Formats: sequence, C-alpha cells, structure tokens
Amino acid sequence: MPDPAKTILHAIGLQKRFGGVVAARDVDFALTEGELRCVIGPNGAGKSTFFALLAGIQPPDAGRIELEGEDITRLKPFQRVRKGLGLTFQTNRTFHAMTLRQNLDTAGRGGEEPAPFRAALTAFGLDRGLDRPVTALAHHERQWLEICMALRGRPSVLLLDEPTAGMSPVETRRTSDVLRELNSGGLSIIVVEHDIAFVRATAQMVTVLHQGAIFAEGTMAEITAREDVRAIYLGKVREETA
Amino acid sequence: MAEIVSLLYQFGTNAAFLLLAALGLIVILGMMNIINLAHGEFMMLGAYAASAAVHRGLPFPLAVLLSAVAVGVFGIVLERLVVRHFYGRELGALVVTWGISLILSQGTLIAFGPFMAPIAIPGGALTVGVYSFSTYWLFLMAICVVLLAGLGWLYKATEFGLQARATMQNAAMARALGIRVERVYMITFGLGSALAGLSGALLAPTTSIAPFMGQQFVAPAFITVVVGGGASVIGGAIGSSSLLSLVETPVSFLMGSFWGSIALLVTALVLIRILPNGVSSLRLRRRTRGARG
Repeated sequence: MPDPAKTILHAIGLQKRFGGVVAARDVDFALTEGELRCVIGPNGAGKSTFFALLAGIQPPDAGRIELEGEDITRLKPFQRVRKGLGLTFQTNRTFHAMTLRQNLDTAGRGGEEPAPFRAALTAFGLDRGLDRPVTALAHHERQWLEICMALRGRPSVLLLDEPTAGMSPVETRRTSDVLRELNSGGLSIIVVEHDIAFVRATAQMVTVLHQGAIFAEGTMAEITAREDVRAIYLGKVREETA
Repeated sequence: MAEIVSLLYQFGTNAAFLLLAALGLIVILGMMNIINLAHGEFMMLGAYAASAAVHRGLPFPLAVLLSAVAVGVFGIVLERLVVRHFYGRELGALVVTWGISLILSQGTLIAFGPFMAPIAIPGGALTVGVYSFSTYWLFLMAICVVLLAGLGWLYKATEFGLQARATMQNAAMARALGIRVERVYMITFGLGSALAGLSGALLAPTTSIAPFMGQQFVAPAFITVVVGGGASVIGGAIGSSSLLSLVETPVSFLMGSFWGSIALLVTALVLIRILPNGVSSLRLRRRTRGARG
C-alpha cells in the first residue's frame, strides 16, 4: 500500500533559464506516494519546462530532483525511466510502423506484465486486436496506448504531459476515469495539463505554475476559490510576481 | 530445359549479388537512415581481410567470419568516434561517410598497393546440358537466404530487434521507454558494418580485389535498398532485388550484360516513379487497409 507520508518524487530549487527567459524559478515540488497531482498554468507558465526537467529532457541550471530518495538530477531520460519514472508526451509518439503488441513490448524489458498495465489496457479497450498496426487506431486510442506503454515499464511515478490533447470530452472523461482508477490502486501520478475540466474531474491536489514559479498549491476547490489564480488564467495578474 | 535452368541460375546470381551488395546497407541506410557512402569501402575491407587471412593459411570460411568480425569492430569504433555526431543530420552523415570512403580507399592504395592477391573461387561446377554453373554462386544464393532470414529473425523476433526498430522510428520515445538508444545505434552500425565486411569477403573470390573495388557495389546496393523502401527494409530488399533481376536477367541473356545493367537502372527509375516509398510500401498499404476494413 502507498505511504502518504513518503515523498516519492522531490524537486528542490529547480532553476532553468533560456537566454533572458526564466522558465523555472526556485521550483520546490513534492509528490507523496499514491498521490494524483495535476500541474496547471496558463500558456508560458513553465509547464513544459517543468515536465522536461522532471523527465530529464532538459538539465536544470540549479536544483535537485530525487526519485524515491535517490538523486536523479544528472540522469538521462532512459535512466530515469529505468529507475521508475513512466513518461508520455503531448504529441503522440507511438511507433507507427508496428502493431499494438510490438509497441507495448518495446516498453517491456522482460518480466511479467504489471497489474496496472493490464487494468489500463482493458479499461481503454485496447486489449482486443493487439496485432493491429498502430495506424489503424484513432488519435485518442494512440494517446491511450502511449499511457499503457509507460505502464508496461512498471513505473513508480507516472508523468503525463497533456494526455488528453486533441481528445473529445467523452474521451477526456474516460482518460480521467482510468487515471483515477490507476491511482486508487496505489500508483503515483503527475499530469501536466491545461484542460481545466479534466483537472477538475481528476486531481486530488493541484499545483499552479506562473512565470516559471509555483504560484499556488492545494485542492481544486481551494485553488478555484483563489481570486489571484482566477486572475492569472484571465491574464489579469500584474507583474508584481516577476 | 537447360536454357530455363541457365536463366534461373542467372536470375539467382543477379539477385544474390544485389542482396549481398545491399546487406550492410539494409541495416545502416534502411534502419538507421544514415547514407553511408563508405559502404563499398567496408565491403572492400572485408575482401582485403579475407584475402590476407586466406593467404596466411586460414581456411576460407574462417577467413570470411574473421573479416566480418574485423569490419564490425572497425564500424563500432568509427561510429563512436565519428558517425554518432551526425545522427539526425543526413547531409552531414553523407559528407562524412564520403570522406571516410576516400580515406579508406586511398589509404588502402598507399598501404597495400593497387592489387591484393586474389582468392580462388571455392567449389566446383555443375553441368546441365551445354551450361555449367559455379557451385560457389549456388552457395552464395543459399547464404543470402540464410542471412536475410537471420536478419529478419533478429529484427522481428528478438527484444533487441524490437528496441532497434523502436529507436529508428522515434528515438525520443524509445528513450522515454527506457531503451538505451546510444547502445542500439552503436550495435546496429556495427552489425551493418560486419554484414558489409561479410559480403565483401564472400564476393572477394568472384572479383578482383583492389582499393577501389567498393565502387562496383555502391550503386547496386543503394538501388536495392531505395527501391525496396523503408516500410519493411528486409522484405523490400528481397522484393526489389527480385524485380530488378527479373528484368536484368533476360535482357543480359539476350543482349549482353551492358544492356542488362541499363535495364536494371531503367527498372529502378520506373519502380521509384510508380512506388516512391518503395516496393515494401505495397505490403504496408495492404495490411493497413486490411486492419481498417
């Protein structure tokens, strides 16, 4: 069972600058075991940089990232994945010239199929027709397949970048249902997302990014009640935080 | 009857030559999308290594294996030192491999002179009617089948093959699944080099061994891989070499090998015009339609 007192993923003082733009500013972020957290923010808030730093696609200028107490700051993406980070991307990256089964096997690295993987495969309805080529799938099914691929590698933390991009409301709802079900089974999940309807339906806790820094953290009710959060989404915040 | 056997033999010889010439390139161009202009020189190195080994008393089969290993190791060293810096930069890779080809051929000329001691064709001859056929070429046809089947098995049925195909399709996603992309690239380039060395060694007894011998293999190799297409590189190469030989063989038979070569090039042009994505795209199109229908 997950231990809610244990921090499974910890980012401490992350900094990232691209030329004159500060994309991550002193980001302190802690995910406890078994938590389902959504990271939101308006365009340009630093969500993509935050994802890239956690995934290892970009190295931070300063700061540290720990996964289950182990420093992974200098590890490359494939090494982080091997340590237990499961990744999916905003733009679908499934292997088009392969079947569903082959796509899933690429993430296998031997060993038995983990239970969350089987559960997600069934819940998304992808367990039938595994020998179809990926090109026969609709966009949302490819997104779901990518989540299943990440789960096949037995992650301790699932890190998803806008998993519902381009999905219809019904498909988005189903994605949310499956993620919550996976989380109730004990999987720790971070979703970087801008679709507020999805976040409202999914998240236990929400982190709001603004201008590269953490602006607010709390439950969805707490976050939406805050005047200043509503203001940054409407573009009304003054530059006093800069 | 003897004419039919002779035509079949010619067809097999032509297809085997195309496939052997293309073998290493199937992996390096077909899978890694590296335009390796040093492919012919890798084959030349294989032929040189085989000749050197045979003339030091090693049996030919052992010399062939040794050549494959030597060129494979050479390929891995080259990949680590040079080629890996040019992934994703096709034109850069093209220029750098061209440079490598020049260094290899000129270097060989300086080090070993204009000719290397030839290797006698192993095996004897079979006679059907007035025609006689080299058993060595029959062996080469068989070895082509074995090598392609082995390559197909490696890439379709093993974990390494799956990871390699995933890496070639989308390296970023492969990394996100925990695949050691750098290692996959290194092994794949080494394997392609080893296969080029193996082909060079196998073809060494059929040709004169010289520093610039690689040039005769480059055009057929590229034509076979490009006409085959990227949807299924191995299947594509088999399809293209068969189609090309199907045209080349009767034309050579009736009008001589010069016109046979012209027919091969014209067929390649026509095939690329009709099927820009290669022969293997036919199969993929059919499969996708089947899955949707």
